[in-house]
Amino acid sequence: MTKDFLQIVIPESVIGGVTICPSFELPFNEGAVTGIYSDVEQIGYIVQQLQYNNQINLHFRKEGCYERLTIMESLKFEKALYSSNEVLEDILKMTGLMDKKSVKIKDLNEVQVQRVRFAKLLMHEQPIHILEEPFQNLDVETKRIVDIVITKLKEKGYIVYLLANNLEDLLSSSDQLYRLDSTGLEPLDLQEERKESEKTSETESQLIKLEKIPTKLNDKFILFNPPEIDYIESVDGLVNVYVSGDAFPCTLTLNDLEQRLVPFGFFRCHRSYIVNLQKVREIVTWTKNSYSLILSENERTHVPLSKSKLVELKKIVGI
Amino acid sequence: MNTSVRRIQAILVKDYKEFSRNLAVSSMIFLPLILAAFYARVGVDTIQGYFMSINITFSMVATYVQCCLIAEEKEKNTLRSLMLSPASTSEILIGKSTLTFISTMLIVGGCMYLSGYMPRNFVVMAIALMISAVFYIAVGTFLGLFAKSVMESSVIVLPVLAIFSLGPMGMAYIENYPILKVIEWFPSVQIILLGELLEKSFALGDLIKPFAVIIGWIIIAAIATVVTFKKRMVD
Repeated sequence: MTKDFLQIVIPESVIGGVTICPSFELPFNEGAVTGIYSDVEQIGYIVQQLQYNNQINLHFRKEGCYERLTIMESLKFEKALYSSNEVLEDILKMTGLMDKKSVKIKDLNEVQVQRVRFAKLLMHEQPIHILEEPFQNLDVETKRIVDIVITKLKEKGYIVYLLANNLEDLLSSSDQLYRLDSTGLEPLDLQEERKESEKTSETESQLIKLEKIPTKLNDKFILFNPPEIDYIESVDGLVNVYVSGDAFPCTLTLNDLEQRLVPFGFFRCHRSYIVNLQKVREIVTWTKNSYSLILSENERTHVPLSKSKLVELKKIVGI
Repeated sequence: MNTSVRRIQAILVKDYKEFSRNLAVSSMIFLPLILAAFYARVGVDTIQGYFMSINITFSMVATYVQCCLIAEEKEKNTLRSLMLSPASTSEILIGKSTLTFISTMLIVGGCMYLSGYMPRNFVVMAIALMISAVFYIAVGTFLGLFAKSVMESSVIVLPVLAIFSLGPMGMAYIENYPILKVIEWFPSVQIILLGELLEKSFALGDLIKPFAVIIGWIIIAAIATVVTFKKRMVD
């Protein structure tokens, strides 16, 4: 029966000649939590496309509750509706709602309502779960609960997809991570810091030969393929790698990065900038001594170009 | 089948709790009872008078409550998750209608008791009242799918009250205005005619017309409801 899941294809969405969402197939990772890092617009579109697939349980970011029911009553209702075998007490304990079980939902605060919704989610017995922005606007404790709920769903053998536009949250809960933008769906490489440190000594020499650029976010390393990177900036000795408008701190120095990236068509355009030449669309002259590069991905991204480097750049491009 | 019954029951229990805690709507269902008691004390004892409160029950309880139940699901944005749940369309609709049906029947019974109306042939009248209730519930569901909020549903239900429940009052003017003949085909008028018929000696064939008319109305209302429901589901 798992064969059927393999083919969940999202059709392309084009509005006014602009590709909002490319056509792609949902990556199928059995028994794993798949994170898809994407834009709000694309997430909304995906959710809309999948609404009527009855194998999929969608967990929306916003959804109504029966406000006049108590927590216990609404969980009982959900249990009967989905004919679930879960024990309500366990669920209440897991979501930290035990002492509130006879409070009406309208008397709860935002975060508690979210917890109730995740408690309900545990009883939705459908093989595929898609969670829209599961971590948005939650406190730390509730985020932890959401994590537990996701793990529990995974343990029950369901396939879980998380859609979010916040990479940090996705990192901590997904096993497989993908990035979706207008060009398509690409896997993001993840390596836990723990594993990394176990074999630091032996991999250190290999790591330098590695083509990927490691960045560090919280306790995780994210490895980017050089073509993904838009540009790299160094401010006050802090190196940030920009990918699709998001900054990822990198521990390497700009000089190291330059050495590594030049073979991939990168160019040190300024004392504190390295740019991916493949992504440069325009060279703008502001005044006689000030230039800047405009990247094709996003027209608002300007990267400064110093005068001394302009000559070099002209040579490379062949002007 | 068993799970389906359990789902219907779950929806019924949930609706009952929600409904009984929403005083603005649930207190409305006692209005016909007050009216029936009042009429009886004033001394109205014609069939027309008895059915006045029963017909008001139909629109105030069956149509209005059903309309509110559906509209509230829409207002609170819970209808979508209900539709996306494993419960099928018919389970949802039956579950939601059961509460309205039970309360309508209770209030109709209360009205008959308070106004002192006891049909000569109770079984036939009970069947007629039940199928009438089905018609009004279908109308309520239909309107509920149009109303965006509970507030809107209390306005949208007024035409039903005016046309179906107060329509029989126009019977008195039929001789002067022949155009009013149409109201004879209303289910509310048909049930009054049936009530009058039951007091006299009647042939079985006489019963066919009122029942056929009411069932005809049910079919129209049911088709309209199902079509709208399907349409809403796509949105």
